[in-house]
Amino acid sequence: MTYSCPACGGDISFKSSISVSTVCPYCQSLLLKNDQGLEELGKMAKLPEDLTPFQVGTRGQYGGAKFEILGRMRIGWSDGMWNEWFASFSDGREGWLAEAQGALMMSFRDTSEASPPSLSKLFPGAAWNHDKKLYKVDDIKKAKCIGSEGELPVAAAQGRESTSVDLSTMNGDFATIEFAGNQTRVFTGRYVEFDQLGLTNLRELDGW
Amino acid sequence: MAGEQTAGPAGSKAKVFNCTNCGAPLRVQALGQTLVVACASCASVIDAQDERHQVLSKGARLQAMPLIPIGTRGQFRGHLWEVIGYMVRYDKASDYDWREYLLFNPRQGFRWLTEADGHWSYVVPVHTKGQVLGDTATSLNQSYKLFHKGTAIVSQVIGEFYWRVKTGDAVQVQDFIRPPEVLSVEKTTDEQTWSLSTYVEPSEIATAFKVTQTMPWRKGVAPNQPGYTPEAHMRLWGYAGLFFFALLIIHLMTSPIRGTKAVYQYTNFLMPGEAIVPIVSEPFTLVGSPRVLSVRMEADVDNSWLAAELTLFDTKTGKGFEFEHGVEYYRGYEGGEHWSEGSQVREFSISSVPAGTYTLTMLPKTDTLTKPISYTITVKSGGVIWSNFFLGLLLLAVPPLVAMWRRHRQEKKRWSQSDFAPAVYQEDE
Amino acid sequence: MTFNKLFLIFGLGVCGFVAYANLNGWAVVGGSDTRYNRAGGPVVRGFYHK
Repeated sequence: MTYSCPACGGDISFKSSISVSTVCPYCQSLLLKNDQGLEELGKMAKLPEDLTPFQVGTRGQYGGAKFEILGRMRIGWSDGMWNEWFASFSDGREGWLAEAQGALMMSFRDTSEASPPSLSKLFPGAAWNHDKKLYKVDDIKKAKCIGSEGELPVAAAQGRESTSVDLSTMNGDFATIEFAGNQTRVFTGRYVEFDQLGLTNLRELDGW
Repeated sequence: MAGEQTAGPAGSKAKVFNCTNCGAPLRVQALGQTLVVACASCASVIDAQDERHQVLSKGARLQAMPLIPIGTRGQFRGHLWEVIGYMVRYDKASDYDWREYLLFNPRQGFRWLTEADGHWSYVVPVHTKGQVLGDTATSLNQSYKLFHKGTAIVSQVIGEFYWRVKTGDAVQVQDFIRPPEVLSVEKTTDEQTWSLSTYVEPSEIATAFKVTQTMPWRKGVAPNQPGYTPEAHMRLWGYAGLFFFALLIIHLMTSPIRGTKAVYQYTNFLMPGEAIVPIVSEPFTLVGSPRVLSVRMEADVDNSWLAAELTLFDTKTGKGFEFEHGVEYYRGYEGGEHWSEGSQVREFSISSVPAGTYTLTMLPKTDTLTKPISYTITVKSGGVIWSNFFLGLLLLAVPPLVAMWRRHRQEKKRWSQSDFAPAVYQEDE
Repeated sequence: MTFNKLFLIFGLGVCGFVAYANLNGWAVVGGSDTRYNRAGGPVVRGFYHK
């Protein structure tokens, strides 16, 4: 279904049925999808320059399923920035490819019934038994969305604040518990290597 | 890899700005990840994220330049890497220092090359972390032995880093070794970082990063320097064992099967007053491959001796092989004790005697006889030369023993720098 | 060449050497007083020969 940008009238379409927001490629307006159509939430500032090899449109495969990167959130915290790439999987799953300090983690929205511990119970080294895995907290970051591009399954408003708790197991499993406002979202996955994702349509990097 | 160039213009799309403190040009290659750039000229650490490029900290003015210059690119272990940062750290307790080079590849992330006492390692972050139990750490089913525990402090930084590093930063480190690897963990109050180092030959680094200067000389044995591994050592003893059996089989197969065979025997008496005449034997034939001939002389000498000049004649060539033989035996009773010296029997062997027909000429000799002496000369052919086999065994044992000694020496040197040396490798007080 | 590979070659050499010595009736160490010399006369040690 094609929409029309409320700000500039340009054609807007969503590649994923779970996407709720997108940045208009013509006028950089952040648009939110609701029952009435598209709502303009303001202009999205241009993302700071970086040397990421990924871009909207990059395709790959993981765990036997194919995915396409449809959008990105750039998150900042007191000690740096990282990218969260929205990977829309062919089987409908909401995947997130985190790109931080040279490491890559692929995780999925955890839709299990298990409720995560409250933030007050989490600290570096704390243990969390979930889905038969023993996770330990690596760090807790107060994060802020610096900007976004493409379509996303969340309303990624610039300045959206959250507390992000990263956990991992001894086997390379990875999890994030995100506390934003009154919402708590859990993502579970694994650390991955660039070479194992079979990536195509990567961003051209000058000199690399 | 598609898109990677080996000798491309270093950081052609790198962001450049001037040091806020001294104006020197600074580069940012890892855009989006680099947080600070440390100036090589004035040791100021500059904020790379914010346009204002504030000075965040300052280091000591005098700096050592990296062996591999910032910006150098090299093809290493399957990918193209660029050296973007250089750091010198030292151990708080011993003042011992080492150098670290931050490697960057936009697709692969970050790696490190470390150099200490001329020994190099390639360091990879380990996300599976490790589990520490006493003196051992395990990661991915491999166990590592504790080698070092201490505090690492940054003494110098040049170039880009993805965290806000400054001189004086301290972390608690623990190194666990399993040559050629080291599993390390660095702890600050909030987090733990695990990494795995693998020993690299200096020549591989020099080739990959085109280092033209002489690489630093290696001193001592590095904690993770591969030597003779325990597995290779076991294999060596295994080979020695196999050779033992092979040698035994070969020895038995190449030895005369029938053992010794008497080919000639002569018995006679020497009578007092009789003139001694040479005796020529009947010819005897030896067949087959060359062998040992043993000439056994027995005589009932009692406080006297009997010698003989013998010649082994090859009837075909007519050439003689001369040798002397003899027996002597003395005994007595003195101070309440019996004593004796010598023997009435003696064997003399000649080795490598080829097949042929021989005669033996004998000329006995002795002091003036007071009583008759009876004597027998027996020529025996062949016999298994067991001394050859034992010599072979001894030779085979030498390399494993040498390897054991060398390995012990190397491990002792390795552990001499550690406070956690296993008892067997500890320095003798 | 690694130490182990060298040892394999060395071990074969030792076996070959022992085989050669045996086939020539040559006692390499001890057990033999002299070595036969076709040309006449003892080759090594043995007794005083006038």
